[in-house]
Amino acid sequence: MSSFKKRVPSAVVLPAGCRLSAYNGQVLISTGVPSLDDILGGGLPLGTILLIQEDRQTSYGQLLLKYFLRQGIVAGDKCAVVSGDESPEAIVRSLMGIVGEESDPGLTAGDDDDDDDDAKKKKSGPGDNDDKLTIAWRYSNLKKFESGVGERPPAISSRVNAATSNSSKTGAPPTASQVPFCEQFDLTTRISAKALESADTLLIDSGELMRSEEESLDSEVDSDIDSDMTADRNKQEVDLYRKVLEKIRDNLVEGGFSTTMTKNLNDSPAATPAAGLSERHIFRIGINSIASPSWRSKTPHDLYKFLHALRGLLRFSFGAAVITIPAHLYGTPDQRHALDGSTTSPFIHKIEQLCDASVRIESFAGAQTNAASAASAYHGLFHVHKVPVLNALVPSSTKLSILLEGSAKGTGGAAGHNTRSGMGSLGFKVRRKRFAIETFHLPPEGGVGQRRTSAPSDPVVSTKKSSEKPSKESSSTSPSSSPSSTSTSTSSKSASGAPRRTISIGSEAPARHSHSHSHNHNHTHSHTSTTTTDAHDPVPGASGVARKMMGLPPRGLQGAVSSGCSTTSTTSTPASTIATPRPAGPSAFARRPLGQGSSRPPGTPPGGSNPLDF
Amino acid sequence: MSRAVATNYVIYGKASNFERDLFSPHYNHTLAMGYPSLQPHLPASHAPLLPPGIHLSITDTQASDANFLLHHFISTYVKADQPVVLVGLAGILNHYTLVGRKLGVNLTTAKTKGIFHFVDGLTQLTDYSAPNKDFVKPTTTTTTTTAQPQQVTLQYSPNLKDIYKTIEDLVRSIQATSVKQLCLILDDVSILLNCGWPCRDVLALIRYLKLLCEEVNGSLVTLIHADAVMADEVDQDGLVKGVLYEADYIIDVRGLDSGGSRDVHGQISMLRGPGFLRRLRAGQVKEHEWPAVTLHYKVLDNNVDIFAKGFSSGVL
Repeated sequence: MSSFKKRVPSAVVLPAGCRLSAYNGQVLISTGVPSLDDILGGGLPLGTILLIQEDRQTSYGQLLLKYFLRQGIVAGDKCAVVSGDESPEAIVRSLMGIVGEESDPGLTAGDDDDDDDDAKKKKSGPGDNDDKLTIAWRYSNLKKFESGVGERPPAISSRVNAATSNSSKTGAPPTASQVPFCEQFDLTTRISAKALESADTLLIDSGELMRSEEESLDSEVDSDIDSDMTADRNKQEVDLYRKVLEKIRDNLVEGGFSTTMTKNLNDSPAATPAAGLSERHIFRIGINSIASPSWRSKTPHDLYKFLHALRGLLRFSFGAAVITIPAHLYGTPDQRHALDGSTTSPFIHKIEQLCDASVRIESFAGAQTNAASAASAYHGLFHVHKVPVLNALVPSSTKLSILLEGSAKGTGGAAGHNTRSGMGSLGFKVRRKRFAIETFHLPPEGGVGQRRTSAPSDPVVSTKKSSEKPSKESSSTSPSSSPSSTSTSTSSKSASGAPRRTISIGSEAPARHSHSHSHNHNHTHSHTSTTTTDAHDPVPGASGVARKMMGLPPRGLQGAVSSGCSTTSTTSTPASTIATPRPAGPSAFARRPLGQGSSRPPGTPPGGSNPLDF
Repeated sequence: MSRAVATNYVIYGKASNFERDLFSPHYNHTLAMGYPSLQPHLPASHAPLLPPGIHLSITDTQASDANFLLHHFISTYVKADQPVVLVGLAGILNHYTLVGRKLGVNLTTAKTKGIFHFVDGLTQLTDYSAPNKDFVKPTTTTTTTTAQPQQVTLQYSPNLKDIYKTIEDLVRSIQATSVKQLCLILDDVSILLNCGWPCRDVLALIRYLKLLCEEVNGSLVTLIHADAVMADEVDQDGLVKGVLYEADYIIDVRGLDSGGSRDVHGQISMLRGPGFLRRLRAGQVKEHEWPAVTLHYKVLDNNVDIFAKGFSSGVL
């Protein structure tokens, strides 16, 4: 029985960068991403394996792995990096820096880059006008909707930064209590040379390992001339997973991370008394793109055995593993081209069973769905397939996780229902200082730019200025165009053959002309403000001239166009005179210029057009 | 009769009964059970124990882990002072001990008393995990507890027969010392298949273990993952079908088709295996002893609620 999983009083000293689960008293380490920690129930429990199913065409999966390793370096843990496709050294060198520590002062000064809209909203005061609701006021008293996990209080990070800078000056390692559970990282910076130097890493290049093993095999074969070459090769092909596992096990045991095995008889392993716990570190294993084509293996059983043995090893040691896998390579033929990149191949499924937790990243860049355009605030979706259930019936994340609770799950076995209920309810976004997994929600329909219940003052001024030119243009062209418009009206008269209509038009047209000339400025203004509510508008943002250039009819003509009138008239004013007699047309309301109440056509309901709207 | 007891149990309230079971030295054996709401749906002839000589096969999916059922049988048997042999291929002893503590049984003392036997099938099962010769297991200095039986570890062997031998030796040694009703639990048969043993051998192992259990008047409980996704694999599909064919009773645990719910974690179906039907035809069992029903369940901290469809706490 391993001593570290026992329910211990909170006074017990923990290894650096660890904390106890509030639910079942397990020792947890951070993945370096607070929201992922939240999903796992506070952190990754010691002795477990987290599987990350990689995204297509992007490398967010590897980014999560880097966060995990970087957090390990912060805590002074031993980090074993296993990689075949990419040299593990490159992965370690490309790790991110800590916020405020390694960045040059210029960058730190202009630090307000960030992080996202939420942060900006938080910066602006609570009494800010932006927060005030213009409709549905009663909801303003409700708690603000939080889709993500709160960031760490800044006090800790500042203290820690001070501590780490101190320690880097004095050369003394930070004590356990000073190491934060989860450091804040800055993706724009690289890990400092000093941190890299002091980091206790173990690099296992599986590709290199494979080559060296093959060479040794080749030499054996060469020496043994009698044997048939190919047969021999088949017999003793390199068992890469075994080699990697042996390396991991050797280092783990020799480093004293195991609680059951030891190198020599004199050391009692883990048996390290409680006092030694504070100096104890964690063995973090990060495996990049396991089971990619560079990990050649004869049967899938090799990987199963690897994971089963790794679990058996980790359960009795101060260690945890994060493994990324290019799951999209393993779909069955019909699933390989699944639009959302989901793979439910038996192979991946079995691997998930052998790991303690499993998540899948689906980036919008690599997906062929059009979800990306709708949800530009996120970089992708985050699916939780399995959460660790250790030493309890219920996974601790159902009790503790804010995110999983928010996405309305909390099921007993796992959060695996997520996959079946279609759209995953978690999304992620990567900002400079954080990898945030949040409750996924679509922005308001039509985008944030279109959400204007009342025209804000500033944009109107700008549209006024921009509409200055067209208004002048129209005023200059309107005299010349008015005859043509009357001609169109007559043509429409003859075409439609509705005498009553034409009479009303004839009576109203002159008055309207004068109005439109005198209120020309206002008129264009009213156009711009009403467009936001115009549901029939095919191009929402385009102003009059731009519409003409795009070959679209002017705004006012829509009713006319739909009613089959000719589109030859260029200005909106005459067109409105055509449209006004049709009482039911929505454009009839929008057309009427300001102060037109007296000349309202008889069929128009009086409340239908509020002059204040214009 | 056992049904009546079970209803009483529910009426009295779970917490108080658990405490009574825990602290009263003379607790009633018929009251000792894991999840009160599950017991009435299990075979009643030897309640709270399983009928001797049967094979209960539990199938589950990834979304709905059926581990809670294993804990039910462990705690029921240990509370009833009947020997349990748990072959842990997926979990370590610590896990079962801590869950057992939540369910009100102390597996550590049960182990010392010789009631609970754990077979470690995790650390040494495959050829990958064969330890380096240099590494030694630390000799526990606390050798005073020599009375405690040595923990059995399944060592790697290319032949599953060796693993059977290990288990058989243990079971027979238990049977030699007591004449009680034994329960042999295999946590996750799927692991054996995944670790490279052929499907045929795994099925043979199950058959051998079943015969062994019949011989020693015990019951065999196996857990196997049976996700629909994995049915594409011939081996996996063959294993699931083969194990189910060997079973007398089948409990199928799966998630809701409609997805997740806060108050219902999944559905649990009591099914009749071929063995049950054989006995039924032979007149050894009555039809009402194992009514085939489908129920819903919800896993709680230290209990599992099993209820009829539509009777979840969210609905009522």
